[in-house]
Formats: sequence, structure tokens, C-alpha cells
Amino acid sequence: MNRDRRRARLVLGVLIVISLLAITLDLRGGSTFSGPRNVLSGVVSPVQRVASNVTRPIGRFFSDLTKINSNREKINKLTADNRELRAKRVEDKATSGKADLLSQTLNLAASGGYRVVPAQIISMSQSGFSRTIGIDAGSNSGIKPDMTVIAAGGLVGRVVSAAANSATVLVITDESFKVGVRLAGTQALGVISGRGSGVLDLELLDAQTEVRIGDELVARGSVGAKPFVPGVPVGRVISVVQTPGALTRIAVVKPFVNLATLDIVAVVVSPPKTDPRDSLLPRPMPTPTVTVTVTATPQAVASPTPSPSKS
Amino acid sequence: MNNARYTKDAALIGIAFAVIVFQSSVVSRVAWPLNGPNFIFLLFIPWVLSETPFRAALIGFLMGAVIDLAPPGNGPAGQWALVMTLIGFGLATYAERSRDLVQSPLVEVGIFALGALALLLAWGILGLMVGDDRASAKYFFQFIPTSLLWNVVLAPFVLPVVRKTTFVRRVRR
Repeated sequence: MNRDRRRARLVLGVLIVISLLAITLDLRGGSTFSGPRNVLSGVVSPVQRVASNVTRPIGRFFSDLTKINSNREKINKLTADNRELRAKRVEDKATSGKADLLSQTLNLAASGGYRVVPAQIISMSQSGFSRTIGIDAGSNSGIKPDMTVIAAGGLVGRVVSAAANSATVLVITDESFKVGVRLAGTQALGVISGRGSGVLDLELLDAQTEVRIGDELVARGSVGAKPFVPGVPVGRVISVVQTPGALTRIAVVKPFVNLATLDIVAVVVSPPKTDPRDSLLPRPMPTPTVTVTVTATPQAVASPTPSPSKS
Repeated sequence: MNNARYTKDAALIGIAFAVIVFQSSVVSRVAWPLNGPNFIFLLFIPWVLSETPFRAALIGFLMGAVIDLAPPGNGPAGQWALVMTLIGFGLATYAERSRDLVQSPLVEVGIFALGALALLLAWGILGLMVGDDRASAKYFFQFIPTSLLWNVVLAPFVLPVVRKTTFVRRVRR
């Protein structure tokens, strides 16, 4: 009995020391644990892939249970819509939906000049507060850590680790996530940080910058395009926090990508040759219509009016 | 006799692995109101309660290490391992001293809730110590209470099943 207890204490001590050692080594950076992580990933990812595919309908069922009321209205409307659609479309709906999502993602990539690897989400983090997702493509497809991950709409996150056939992505809403951004149009610089919920915090570096609700943000791009390639749409300002006297301006941003319904993403494996600037934002920037009224006033010669159009 | 025991251990390790995968690929993907349950805890706590401290510490370490290293785990390797080793050992030591543990279902659920709270708090405190951004005020004041709520709601249904599966060893002396 006493021997048992001593043995238990001994093993407890040994395990604690091993854990602390592991934490310290891993926090110091480096790739001490990439070996075991890759091995486990190789074992777990296929299982996750299968489990995710098999149980997706079950998961959806429970998700739906949580919003039965609002769904009832939707169901009535959708039933009507569906009847109409079924007559028109013979195509498999699920497949075409997925194809749409994929093609939207690829369109974004193509118009930005990014070379991407599409991937499907096969897992999400164990705990609700840390936001990482697992995808079904890895280093065999050319994915490496610190690559940008996008989806239809814009930025999803960045790759934090890649195994042979799977990779882990840190999502933009994670509390440790930060990305440099530009306000579309004014080019003012800022930093976006996740805060563990559906919205993001924006901190503008210059307190004098004018920022309004509805302003849109694109990723500024990192040095050498790692971890962020330039020009990826990030989100739209939904409220501005008044901070008189502060050195920076704070605003709340809603990401363009709907992270709750994310299914297909694309990993940018090579950055664009030129910065796409604001061209990837969801709706085209309103083209400024210049109306010039030229009134012939022969007297006024003091200031020559610049002619906006070269004919 | 011994053979049966090894078979049972192997089966339990398989189940634990399956539950960890299930948690990350199925449970986490459902849009639960208030974060949702943690089936790893629902298995782990009643399991170690029926083990010796020696085995409980080992079980905690192994499950924790798998959680730390399996995708999409992102924290420092060893964080869950340390937390689950300590709490596993603590729970098993407690269970060894009080033999009438499963006398009343209410007591059982209460001990389970305390165990889950200890696990979540220990993870958060360790996170604070190593400077993990995820151990935020939101984690302590929002995630822990809601997560506990879900687990306690499910506990009365899951705990008896786990207890019956691991019970044999409880009658060790």
C-alpha cells in the first residue's frame, strides 16, 4: 500500500517535470515538437476527415436545433422557393453550392494574382475560445507555416503548422491574431486584432485619420508576403469608438468572411507580383464621376482651372 | 484475469482517443449556444475517479499530450498534459480516500463539476503564467461558467455509463 503511494508520487513528479520541460521547450520556439505533431496529425487527420464527413449532417441537425424559431419562417419561405427551383434546376444542390463557394474563393485569388491551394475544413479547435481550424491539405500540396489563408470574401487567417496532408490555421478572430491593414481609399494604416468573438478590433496608427462606419479594410501585406500577402479584403468598420486625447483611433470591424459557415478555404502559396491595392473589395469602388462646369468668364484669369480630361 | 485487464485498458485508451477526435471534429463544429459540452472531461473525470493515483496521473498525461499535439491544437505542448496529470492525480487520490463516492448521483455530479472547474481553472492559470493570450478575462468569466453549465447538464446521463465501463477496478480492495 505504502509502496503504491510512493510509486504514484514518483510518477506524478516525473510527469510534471516532463510537461514543464515540454512547455518551456515549445514556448522557446523552434521545432522540437513538430515531429510528434506531424506523426499524430498523420494518424488523426484521416480519422477527423472521415468523422467530419460522416457526422456533418448530425452536427447540422444540432446547430439547427439551437435556432428553431427563426428557422420555421425560413422553412416556409424556402419550401416555396425550393419548389420553384427544383423545377428549374436538376443539378445537385449541395455540389453546386460547394462549387460556387470554391469558385468565389478562386475568383478572389485569381483577381488578386495569388496562387492558391484550395482545402476543406476538417476540424475546429477543441475549446470554443481558441480559434484554430484544421484543413485537409498540407506540405505535400506546398503549404508551409506563415501562409495566408483566404475564402470567398476575404481573409480567414494564417497557417501556423503544416503536416504532410493537413495543416492548422489560426483564425482571424483568435485573441492572439494580429494583422496590419490599410483603410481602402485613404490608405491610412492600422492593426487588426481578434478578440475571441465574431468581430475584430481596429487600431489606427494616426489619431487624425478620418474613419467612418462602412469603411473597408484590406491587408497591408508583410515583408516578403509572409505571413500576409497584400490586398486581401479583411472587413468593414461597423462602429467607431470615440477616444478623445488618445494616440490612436479605435474601431470595431466585422470580417468579410462568415467564419461560422466556413467550409472551403484557399491557402495562398505564392504572393501576387504586384500589390492589388483595393481592387479585391467585395463591391467595386464607386467610380468617381467628375462633373466639371466650365463657365466662360473672360475676366477671371487669375487662376487657371486645371482641365481634368485630356482629350 | 490479467489478460482481461489489459484488454480493458486497450479498449479504454481507444475510446479516449476516439473521444478526443470526436470532440475536435464533431462537437466543436456544432454552433452550440454558450460554447457547448466537453466530452473529454465527461470521460476523463469519472475514469480517473475509478483508478489508482498512479494510473490516473499516467492517463491524464497521455490524454493531455494527445490533446496538445493532435491537430488543430495550437497551445504549447505539455499544457493540457500538465493540467490533466495534476487534476487526474488529485481526483484519484481523493476518490481513494472516500470510498462512498458514488453513493448518491448528486454527489457524483458535484464532484464531476468540481473536477471540470479545476481542469479549466488550472489550464487558464497555467496559460496566464506562460503568457498565453487565450487565457483572457473572457475565458475565465464567460467560457468557464458556460462550459461548466453544459457539462453539468450532460453529466447525469454520461457519468453512469462511464462508471459502469471502468467500474471493475473500483473493487480492488
